[in-house]
Amino acid sequence: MSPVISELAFIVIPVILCSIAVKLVDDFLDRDLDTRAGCSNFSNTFGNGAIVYGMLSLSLAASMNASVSIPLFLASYSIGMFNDFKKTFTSGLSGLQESLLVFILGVMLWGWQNMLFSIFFIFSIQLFDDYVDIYTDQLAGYRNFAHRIGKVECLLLSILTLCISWRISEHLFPGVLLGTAIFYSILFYYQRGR
Amino acid sequence: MLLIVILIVSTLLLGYLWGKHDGRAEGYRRGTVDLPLLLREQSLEQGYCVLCNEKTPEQDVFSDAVITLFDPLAVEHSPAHDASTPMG
Repeated sequence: MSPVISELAFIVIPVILCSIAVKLVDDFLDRDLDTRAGCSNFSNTFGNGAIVYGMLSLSLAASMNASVSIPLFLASYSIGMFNDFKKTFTSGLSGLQESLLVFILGVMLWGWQNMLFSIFFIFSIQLFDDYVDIYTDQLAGYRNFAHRIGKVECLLLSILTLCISWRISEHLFPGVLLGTAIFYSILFYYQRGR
Repeated sequence: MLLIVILIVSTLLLGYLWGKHDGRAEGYRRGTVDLPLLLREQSLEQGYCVLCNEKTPEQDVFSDAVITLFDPLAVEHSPAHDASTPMG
């Protein structure tokens, strides 16, 4: 395998594995919400094992390329917590405090460039996901970013943050975007009509 | 190149937000001006006046309402209005 393809594979595959981990954890946490909205949820397929498979997937991703997959996972956690920034969690901290703490830890452990790239990239994906899922989330009674800031603003902000993440790390961006696109394609193929 | 794209998208976003904000303010102002007239028109069509809470005569109510919207003084001298008043 040529070094370029090998280098790309060592970014794309960990991103797919990390995306699987994030999706399984997210589905596990959103079981009730998805049941209400009638959306498909991997927790219904895997049961409580979803969280274990998520951990396994993240471990494999970290084994292949820790400097890409771990900041992405931390950024997902940080953005996810920021959604419920007023709510107090089991740790005793509010969503905003947890979000900032995870971000600061990520910067200390993985450097500001990796963490900032991950934050902007994940935020962009989150915004695009909210833009696409605006009606599904409305049915479930959940106010996502598209509801809060407006549909067009959500899409424009998603494009803007995607471009900023590209500017921050131009060598990581193509691989991470390709990995995310592959994961989303598989997900849409699996969830079609459900 | 990427910086130019970032600049363009930022400008689009800011312009959209600015336009939306101004549009909302303008819409509210226009709504405040038009709403009393629309309410009055609708109430007159249904046979009562929303301002004085009096029933309007059933005959020719709509033409009275339309005349009132454009020229309130004309109603007082319209044939329908004259016919409905005790002295008319």
